[in-house]
Amino acid sequence: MKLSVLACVLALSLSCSHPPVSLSPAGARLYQANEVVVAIGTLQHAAIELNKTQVCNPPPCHALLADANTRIVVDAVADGLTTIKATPDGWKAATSVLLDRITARLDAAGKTELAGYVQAVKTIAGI
Amino acid sequence: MTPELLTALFNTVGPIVRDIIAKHQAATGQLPTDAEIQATFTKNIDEYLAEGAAWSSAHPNG
Repeated sequence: MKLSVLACVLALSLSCSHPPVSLSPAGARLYQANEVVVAIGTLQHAAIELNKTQVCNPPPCHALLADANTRIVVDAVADGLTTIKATPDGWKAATSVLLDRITARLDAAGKTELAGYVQAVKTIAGI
Repeated sequence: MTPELLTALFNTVGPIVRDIIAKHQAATGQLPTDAEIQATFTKNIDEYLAEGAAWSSAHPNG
């Protein structure tokens, strides 16, 4: 399945979710922030799972996503989520910084492997 | 990209947020409150931070 299709489905599955009417305006903003948090967490989870996946073409066998690229994602996500936890209303800016950092530091292979997931976060966050 | 990973991603991301609401409604017959959304928000962040920390601990030279 193409990563672009995955990205679209992920984005649509969350972007169309409206806050419950039971929430206050502050609660609705937090609901929206939580959706983006889930998308960011999924990006990190995907990176970690891709790092666990071994491929042997070309030999020798190696991780589908290199440790260096995985660390870039993990570190950026840690900083981003810590910021969002401290200032939930600033989720959009924190997410933008997080994604810019990841995109700037990944090598070509990492960008290819994670392109769909990064785009899904951008779409869900409205960036 | 393995089919198993794709399936896991679909199963994980898609229903998460709406599942919060559905479970709450099933349990209480009511929509979630601000406090419950706050708790979910914090729980999610803490879980993702823990997952990242676990990876970092397992890959000190990564």
